[in-house]
Amino acid sequence: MEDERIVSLYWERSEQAIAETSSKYGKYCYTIAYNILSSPEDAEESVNDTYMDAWNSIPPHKPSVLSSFLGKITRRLSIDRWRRAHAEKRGGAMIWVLDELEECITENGSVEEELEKRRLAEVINDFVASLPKTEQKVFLCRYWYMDHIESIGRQFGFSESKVKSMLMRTRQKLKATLEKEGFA
Amino acid sequence: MRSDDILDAIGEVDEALVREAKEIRRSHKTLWVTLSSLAACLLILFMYPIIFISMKGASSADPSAPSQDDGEKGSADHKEVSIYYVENDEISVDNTEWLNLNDLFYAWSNANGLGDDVKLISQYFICSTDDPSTVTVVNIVVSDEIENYYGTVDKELLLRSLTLTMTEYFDISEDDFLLTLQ
Repeated sequence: MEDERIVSLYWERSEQAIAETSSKYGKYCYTIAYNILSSPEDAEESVNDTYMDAWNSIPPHKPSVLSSFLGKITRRLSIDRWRRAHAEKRGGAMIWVLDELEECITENGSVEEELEKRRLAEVINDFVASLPKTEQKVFLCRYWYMDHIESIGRQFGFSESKVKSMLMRTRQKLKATLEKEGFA
Repeated sequence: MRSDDILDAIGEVDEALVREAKEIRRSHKTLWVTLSSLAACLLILFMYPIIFISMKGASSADPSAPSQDDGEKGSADHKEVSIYYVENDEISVDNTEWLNLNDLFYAWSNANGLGDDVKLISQYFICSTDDPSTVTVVNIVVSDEIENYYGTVDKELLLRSLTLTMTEYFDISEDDFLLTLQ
């Protein structure tokens, strides 16, 4: 079923909307959640929470591309779930991803307010958009989709060492950009 | 700022870019599977009579022996190449469209401010015995005029930039790359 038709079902408050969403995007959302949480049960719950969130936000939202809309929700919910649980439960790509992104922060970090967070989002968006295409896609696969290095290598036909060195260079560039923008 | 803040900010990246990260990857794979299948069929079609005729006396080269090559190994898999160069006492990188080995070396040399006297003399590849299309060791020979530039460009960084450029080009580890000056 086309996204437009599924979104219409949400607007009509038809429960068929959830069934169609699950059928078309269940696996996609599950993959994102599992990459972050590394637990089938937690990933399943995260996906179910995604459907609930979508139900509560459409309307008023009317997403034109449902995959992006749902993927973003799943990612956010899964990261929040991981943060709540990470003291007791360890695993998933999150540990490594956060460790890697630590390299982009200089030692004298300061607490950011809400406006600074929005500015940070803009700076990072501009940075990602400025990257050469392949580097951009590898970066997003790792830090948006939380794909494992091995998986990224397979998907692009790269060795793991090439993926790692590419990500390292991109993180170095990001660090330089953040410093230049005053996020030190 | 914490890495969590960066992670959250990455979540706000333009959705079109996020989608593209997955979509185009699939089309690359699909295009590669299609083209490779077509190439294989055409090869069989044209090579069959030649193979049939030459079956009696044909001999094949030892795939593990070093051989010279025009440097096109692995090129079909990638659309971009990375050129590492020394700038302000550190190594930077530029990505550009795919180049053959000679053009890549020229681009690397140019990016590092080296003159035409620094030449790529030759290159040798050692291939896997299981899959002759897979390069396992690469040895390139560069003219020793490169030493004339050690005064203007840090020697270690310069050679490192060449190593990074070549190992990425051939998709091999640094242990499998040999640089000879002649």
